[in-house]
Amino acid sequence: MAHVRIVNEAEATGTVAEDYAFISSSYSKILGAGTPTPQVYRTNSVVPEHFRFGAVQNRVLTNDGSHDRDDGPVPGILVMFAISMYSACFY
Amino acid sequence: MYPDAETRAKILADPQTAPIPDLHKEMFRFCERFVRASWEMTPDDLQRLRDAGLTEAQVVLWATLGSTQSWFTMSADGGGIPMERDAMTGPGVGKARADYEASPEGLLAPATAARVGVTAPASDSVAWVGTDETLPLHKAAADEARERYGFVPNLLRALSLQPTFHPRHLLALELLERPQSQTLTPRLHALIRARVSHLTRSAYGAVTTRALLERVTGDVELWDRLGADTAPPEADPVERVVLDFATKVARNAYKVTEKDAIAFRECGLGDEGYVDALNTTSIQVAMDRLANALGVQPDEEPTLPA
Repeated sequence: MAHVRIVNEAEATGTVAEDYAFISSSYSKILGAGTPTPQVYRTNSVVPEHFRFGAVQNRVLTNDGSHDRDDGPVPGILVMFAISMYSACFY
Repeated sequence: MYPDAETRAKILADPQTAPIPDLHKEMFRFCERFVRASWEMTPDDLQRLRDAGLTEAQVVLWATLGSTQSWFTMSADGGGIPMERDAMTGPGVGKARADYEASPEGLLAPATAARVGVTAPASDSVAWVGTDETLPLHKAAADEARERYGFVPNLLRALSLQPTFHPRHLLALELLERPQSQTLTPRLHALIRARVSHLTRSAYGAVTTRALLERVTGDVELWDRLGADTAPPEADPVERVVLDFATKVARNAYKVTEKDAIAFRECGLGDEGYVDALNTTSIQVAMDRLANALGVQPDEEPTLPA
């Protein structure tokens, strides 16, 4: 269970609603239609400015949701996995 | 990427002895140093990547990905989010945690041994990586930064080979300028940033966190008194809660529990203050690691609006 209150899609307004829509659409492009916004973004939803930061990070990581960035010889997701591993982050 | 379960298990145990390409081993080594001891990184850490076949832009990309994922890991652990799928990484993460538990500094501890640096940064360069400040996307972001701060931060200049990430960096700098919630006071916010700079040993970040703390408190010695461990003697109970939390997140975010969020509620900061403190910490850590890893030269002025 999350440590903090979450503003979910049904409650969200303004930039939080916009960012939910973008993040969901971005993940839906790679995981299938209707993929909801992952939990890692949601725990920031009580502070819209920080929720926006998560959305902007997804935008730059996915080339604005198109998922066509040229990572070079090692997939970017593997670099990010290594960071998680050394951060001891189960998520 | 690694379809063989045995190979995955070996990676999780120790990537340096796993049957994977040398470039992948260099990547794991880079990431370990980025997370655990970015302040120990030298130009040689980047030269190793070039020697292994990376272009200059790819070197900048790996550091940038390290910074973005640093935020994700701290946000995930600090938010206490439920798992969405089985943790196939569990054994490796568990090993990492066991290693960190044995170290007084936890995550922020010396990692893989450094080779002695072989390439000193040129005295007139902004970082240990090449730049191209003529790229249109970079120029647009540089103009935006110049308008906001009166100059282009060296961090942005150092990242000019990956300008598509600039919106993220600019937003990070902007979010760090002030609290983003009603409950986290400017003093608490400035204390968090200063504490993180001590923990990351970031000469780059310290220019701004020192100036911000002085501006907010009027105390020109507080940044030095704050240090990396205990709260200064004059700290009140709320400041102690916030500083202890920021220190835990920066050192070992996986140790955060619901009790930390409850402590914020009990001292009146609420969930909004908690999320603001968590993000202030994690963004500062992420940016400090980036500056450390690329050897970004400190700016002469803080990245704060006049």
